[in-house]
Amino acid sequence: MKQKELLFSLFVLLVAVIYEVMALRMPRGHITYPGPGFYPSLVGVFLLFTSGGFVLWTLFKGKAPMPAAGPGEVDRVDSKTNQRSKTLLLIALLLFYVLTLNSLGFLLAISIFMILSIRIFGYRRWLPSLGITIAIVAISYLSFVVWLKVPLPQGILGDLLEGILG
Amino acid sequence: MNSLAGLWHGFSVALSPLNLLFGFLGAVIGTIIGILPGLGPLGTMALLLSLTYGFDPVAGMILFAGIYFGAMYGGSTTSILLNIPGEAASVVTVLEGYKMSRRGRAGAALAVAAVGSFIAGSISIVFLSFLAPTLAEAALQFGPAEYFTVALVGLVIMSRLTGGNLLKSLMMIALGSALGTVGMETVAGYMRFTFGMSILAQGIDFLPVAMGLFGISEVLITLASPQENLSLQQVRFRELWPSRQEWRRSFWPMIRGSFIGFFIGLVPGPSPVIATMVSYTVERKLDKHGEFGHGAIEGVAGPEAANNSAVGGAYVPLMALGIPFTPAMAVVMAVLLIHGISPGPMLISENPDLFWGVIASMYIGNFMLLIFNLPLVGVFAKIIQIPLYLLMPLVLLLCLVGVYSINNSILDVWLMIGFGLLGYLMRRLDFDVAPLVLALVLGPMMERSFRETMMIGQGDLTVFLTRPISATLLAVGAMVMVAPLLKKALWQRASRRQSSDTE
Repeated sequence: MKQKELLFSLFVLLVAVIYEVMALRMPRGHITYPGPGFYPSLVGVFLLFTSGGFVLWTLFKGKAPMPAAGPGEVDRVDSKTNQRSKTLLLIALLLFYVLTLNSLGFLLAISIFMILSIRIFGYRRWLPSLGITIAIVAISYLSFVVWLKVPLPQGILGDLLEGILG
Repeated sequence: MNSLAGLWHGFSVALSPLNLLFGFLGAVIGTIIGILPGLGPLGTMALLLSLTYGFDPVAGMILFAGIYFGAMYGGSTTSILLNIPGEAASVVTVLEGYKMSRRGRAGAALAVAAVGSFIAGSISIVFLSFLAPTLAEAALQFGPAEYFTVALVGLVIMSRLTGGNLLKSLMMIALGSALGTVGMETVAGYMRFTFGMSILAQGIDFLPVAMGLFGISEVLITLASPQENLSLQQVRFRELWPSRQEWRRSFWPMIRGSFIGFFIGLVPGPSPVIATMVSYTVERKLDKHGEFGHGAIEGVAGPEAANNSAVGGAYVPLMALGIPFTPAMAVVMAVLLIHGISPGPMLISENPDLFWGVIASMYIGNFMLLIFNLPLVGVFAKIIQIPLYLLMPLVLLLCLVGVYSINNSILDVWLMIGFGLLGYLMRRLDFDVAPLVLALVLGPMMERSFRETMMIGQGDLTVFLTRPISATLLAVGAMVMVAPLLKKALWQRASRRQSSDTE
């Protein structure tokens, strides 16, 4: 935990440094007429102080005691690894959706996303998953695209449906 | 229009069939999401925001008020029956509610929670009806210095009240403020932190950020945590009536909870959560039966009243000043902004239909919630048995489609996913993400007010201290920051003196 906290706070500190350097390059004006860089440079100093302070706090705080290994420890570690790989898979799936949304179109991209995410959340049967996906995607298409006129990227299936629905 | 005449007019607006339908829908949706752990009222309102484009703003506001109040009702159901708080504001209810349930008094606990919520909701709405117009009138005297100080002190108080590490909260506020400076600056049209991307010129909208930090990260956290099987306790309708003694013991905790909740609701931060904690502590201190920790009904009545009352309180700063003190209120404000309505001191006089209609609908919504929450408690509690493999992909779909539909922009989807991952990481490291969202919302207003104050006051920084309202607010902020440190220092000094005396 401590190591992760330190890494995260170092990352924020790096962001703070970049932010402040960029803010200082903007025209700051004068206190009687503050320019576009005036307020960001103050925010940058605040960000530097808080992230720098947190780095120091993380470095000097005591180490939390490690929980003692119990009889079910191996199972717990296995389950944790399993959950972690599922989380990574879901993140990859989210990225896949947003990367293919324009090329595949909403209907195809969201259908692939839904059927695979149902599986990631532990449901293993393909046919019912397909049925659930079709039902949910159809309802969302009708409510967002047909009713609310949200111009979601259409793709191949969208063109087909538009032809059918007129 | 005085408050009573306004309220009368409000009922004529709220009782139109369409507004009644939206009030009912909001109450049902709110109850359901209150029951389901994970997606809270904020996430749900953010998801449904795109739907309100097509509605009248009054209907949208009524829908969201129903969701917020409904979530407070629904959260208690699973806390009492399953030991699972569906919503953060119901965590305290678990302590006594579930113990009551184990003693066979689940029905009584549910009834007291529902009636307490109704009484508190009604009291807070009465306060809101009378306090918001008065505060709005006073706010007409506010200049940019006062607006800057209100927002600054609001963020300071929030950093103190969210609990946990102060440095972490301040870092979140700094990050949120930094994000709020991205985009085209309004005075000179200067592009800041856009890296040459014109798509960033409009700045970072808080909705993709909120949906990522609260919606996507919640799904990732649910997936990463091991799931447990639930066993639902059955409650029959005739078991719902508490005994006379239980009613007597609940009455004053409900009233105290209502007052505590409303006044804490006025303060920035997660007010419903804090209100339940304060109410629980007060009831525990006043306990005469020695039942706390074993299923004391006062520990259900007080906190459940407090969380509902806090919702009414949270509406006051938004409706009267146009300043949202919680991320959920920022989403409510977005409903108004997308229809071109600016909340603030002029809202009541310029949009009486909206202001009084929403308040009247809160009365009606509270009554609806009481009517259908009690008899249908068993049905609502079963909702928690919806499998995660259905619920979570559905939440993700709503997030992905909902965020795109706000600006029809793929950048918003990227932002939401990015902040979802960041939120997942931060929440695993025990960072509270609410201050970040609130700082992002308040940041641009703070910058504008600061620059205006400096231009008007010729760069004189003492203007914040010489104007009475601003100076008072700054003093409150300073007290909130310093008081806990002072208390800690005094306590350490006392304990050192005590240990040296014993040596």
